[in-house]
Amino acid sequence: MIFEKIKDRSLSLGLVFVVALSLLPHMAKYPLEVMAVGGLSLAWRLLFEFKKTQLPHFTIKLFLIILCGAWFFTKYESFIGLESGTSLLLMAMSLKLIDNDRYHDFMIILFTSLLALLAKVLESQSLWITLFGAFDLIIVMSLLLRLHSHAELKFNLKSFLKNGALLILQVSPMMALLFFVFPRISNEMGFASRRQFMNSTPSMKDISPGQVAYIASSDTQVFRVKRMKNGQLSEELAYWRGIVLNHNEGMLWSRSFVEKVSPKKNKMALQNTMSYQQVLLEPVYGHWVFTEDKPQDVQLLSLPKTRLNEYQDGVFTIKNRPNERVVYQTQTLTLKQKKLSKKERLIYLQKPEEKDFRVHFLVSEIRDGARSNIEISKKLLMFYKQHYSYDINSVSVSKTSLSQFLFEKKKGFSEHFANSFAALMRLAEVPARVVVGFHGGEVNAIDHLITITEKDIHTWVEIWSEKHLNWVRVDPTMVVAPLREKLGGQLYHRLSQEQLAKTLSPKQHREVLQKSSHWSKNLAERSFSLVQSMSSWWTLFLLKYDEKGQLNFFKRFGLHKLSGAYLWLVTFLFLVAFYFMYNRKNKKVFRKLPKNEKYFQEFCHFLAKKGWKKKPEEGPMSFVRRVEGQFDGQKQNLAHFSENYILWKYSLPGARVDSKVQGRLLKQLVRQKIIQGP
Amino acid sequence: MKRKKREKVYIVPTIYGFIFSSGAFACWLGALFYSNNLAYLLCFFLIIIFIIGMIQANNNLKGLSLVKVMAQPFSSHTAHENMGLLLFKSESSVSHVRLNIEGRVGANKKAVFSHYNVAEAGSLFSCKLSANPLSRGVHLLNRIKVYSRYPFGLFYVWRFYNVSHELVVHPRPSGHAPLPAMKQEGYYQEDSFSREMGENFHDRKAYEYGDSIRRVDWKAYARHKPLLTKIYDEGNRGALSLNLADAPDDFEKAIQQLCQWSLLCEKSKVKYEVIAGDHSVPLGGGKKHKYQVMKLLSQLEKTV
Repeated sequence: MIFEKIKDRSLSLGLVFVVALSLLPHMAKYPLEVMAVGGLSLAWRLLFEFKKTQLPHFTIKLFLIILCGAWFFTKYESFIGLESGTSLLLMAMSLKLIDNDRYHDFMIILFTSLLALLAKVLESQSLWITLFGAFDLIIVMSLLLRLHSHAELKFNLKSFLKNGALLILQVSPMMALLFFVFPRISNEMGFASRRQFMNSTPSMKDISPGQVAYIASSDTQVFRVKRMKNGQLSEELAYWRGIVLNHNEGMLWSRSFVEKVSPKKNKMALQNTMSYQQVLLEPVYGHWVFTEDKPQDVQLLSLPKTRLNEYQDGVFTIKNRPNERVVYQTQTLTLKQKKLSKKERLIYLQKPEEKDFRVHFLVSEIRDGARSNIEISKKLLMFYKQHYSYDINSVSVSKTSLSQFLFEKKKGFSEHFANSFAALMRLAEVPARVVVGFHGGEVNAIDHLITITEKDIHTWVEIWSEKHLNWVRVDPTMVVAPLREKLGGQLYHRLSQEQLAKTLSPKQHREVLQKSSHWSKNLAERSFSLVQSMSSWWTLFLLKYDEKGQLNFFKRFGLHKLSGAYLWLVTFLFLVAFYFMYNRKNKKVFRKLPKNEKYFQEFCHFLAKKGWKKKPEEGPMSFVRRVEGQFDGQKQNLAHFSENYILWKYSLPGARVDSKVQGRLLKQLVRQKIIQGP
Repeated sequence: MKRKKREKVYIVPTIYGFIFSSGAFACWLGALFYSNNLAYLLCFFLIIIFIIGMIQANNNLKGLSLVKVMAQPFSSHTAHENMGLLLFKSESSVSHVRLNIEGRVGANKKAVFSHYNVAEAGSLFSCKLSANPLSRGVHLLNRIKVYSRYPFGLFYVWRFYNVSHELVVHPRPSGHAPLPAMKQEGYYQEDSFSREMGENFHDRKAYEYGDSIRRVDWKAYARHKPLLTKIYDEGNRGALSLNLADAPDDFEKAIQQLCQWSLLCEKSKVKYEVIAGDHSVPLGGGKKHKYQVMKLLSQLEKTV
């Protein structure tokens, strides 16, 4: 059977569709060569199905396999790893499509498509991938069913899809049960996707003028955050700290080596507090973790705790960051005051080589008369307020020289102000550093979570305060463009030049923006919010349901001491119960028989118990004739009963027989005393 | 109380079943190592599909009983299609889909074969039987195997029916020798041939199981009379005596010629007798007679 050719074209076209569907989610992330092999195979197979060409000859197939193999080894050098494995799988599936059209090939391609789906699922657990996976499974299962069902059945798309969908629906409740009870094992072994990030965002290890403004032109979602303050959702705009840059070369800032902080055990119990931030971070910015701009502690929720790195400058990163969403919780800490060490002072006072006397003149002017670092920064802020303007477009200035921006261009984006401000502070002997993060965000009307996109990217400065013995945030953009700070990046970028020129309060600007939108746009935004909140909810649910999440889930039902062994047992029992219940459900089909048929079968069953068994070749009339001697007092009832049944069963469609009458007759007949056996 | 004999349905995973379960295992490993809950869901889906596949595959052959084997004599040289029927009865609550049937003759496991697409639950259905080339003779069909891969091809399910049915493989009907001369003996014998093939209406009798449906007096039945079978008179026809000695010298060719003559007689509804040395089949016609003749021809050896 395995070498039997599949002659049904609808099945072959279905297979082509499955392969195309399997390639689709991988298109954006995998090399063009893999997709080219897939496209070529799909086109060839389609031409073959419509009898325009033959499947490739053995030599061509061999050539293609060698070519793909050679490309694979030059590209990946190894089979190990999710990316190389998936590439190989996709190419093998594509080549198999043009190998042959036998049953065996059909089955192998269908199973390979399931593995391709698994590869995608391991990369992302988003709602879209879940829905896509469900659709893919419907098609694959429908094809499997059709392949093994009635061979001459005419293809009907509706019933084809219905079979697969019904199967998925049948399976879903049990799947959900197993999902909740199957014991999760914490993965502290460090197995994780080691895929390199393939995103358009720069490495963020340095910031040159114009780079942040370029990023702000994108709408890519970076993270969503649930801010809880005293047990209630907070919708305030906040600064989200990400990367701290400490090495200065004029307008160019970069991050030099910073020591890690050893993990503090039991620093706090994050789960039990009323004020915290729960962040759903997209895989856009590599291993960087964004925290609210206050001293923070971070706890990873979807990954093992050991994967978190903390640095002395309050920056957090994730080791072997998987290329999928990550959930973590952050909370404000009260840090002890400490003095800046000599080493730190050396790092944060490293100055740019600035030759322009105007810069040094400006520095001496702002230092003049100031008694503290804070006072120096205030004087410089006043200078910025008077002389500079905000421009959302990328303004190109010299990377090494401060003077071009300070005295010629005089307009720019947040990184221009922050980079130059921090450099000037260092020239004024104030320890300073540049922070790249986000400020702003938009609140989702459905789930009230704040969505931060790249439009909210922002740069600011932190200076050392001798008075507070701590780092203090200073944002020069705040004084240059206060509206940007009050509205946040997303709303501010939506305002036109005319709207910006009007002197309205941030609240009025918001109202104007809402009123000026067309109803269809509002509806679209509302729908988008709904989808966004559903997607976040689903991802959060999946990411948080680990060993700890499972224990918390059972605690809600009062099951506090459920160990792994119990859960294994429960899973096993569920599977056994499912086996018996499904078997029983299949037997219940008898109950779905039409009533007239059911009554006749009951009549036969009644007589069979007395030894009067209906022969398989015997018709209903012959059987009734054979047994009528047993029903002396009820011959009329028996004749009526059998005639009704025959009329119902063998007459033209539409002949009506009242099943209630049949039921009544049966009741009377089964009261009859029957002599044992013929 | 008589205990119902337990039906034995055998089930093993196919090679695809093993691949599928390996896929589910890979899914579980992926879910475990990557702490991926969506992969867990996919893994559970595959496991449940595997279980459903097992249950449905088993139920596909459950409650299926072989009622009767009906096989006609057939020639050894042509792959014979529709040489017989297998009558099955379903006592199951689910339909039976894509059944494959094989019959074993001696060591030849696939001597006869058949397939059936969909049989309704609780129905009586017949499968047309085909045969692979077999040597001339009478073979004992001793076991019938029904198997299926429905619904997903993950399991191979099969069951056996022990039968004892003779398969008559007669010689290939061939030869161009003219028929021997007709005998005008005119003796009449009540046999199945005359009952079936006569032309003059003689009488009616109560219908018995096995009587031809074509001979049933449907008009009388419509008048609420019991089911009756019409009996016809044979009339005075000629008869033939087919003798092995009248056929060519070569033994195999001779019996092939005899087979050809016999089938011609059957076709033209002429009564005939067959004589082959010490063996003979008396004058007659009809299915039973044909069966006897073909059985004799299939068993004839050169020593005759």
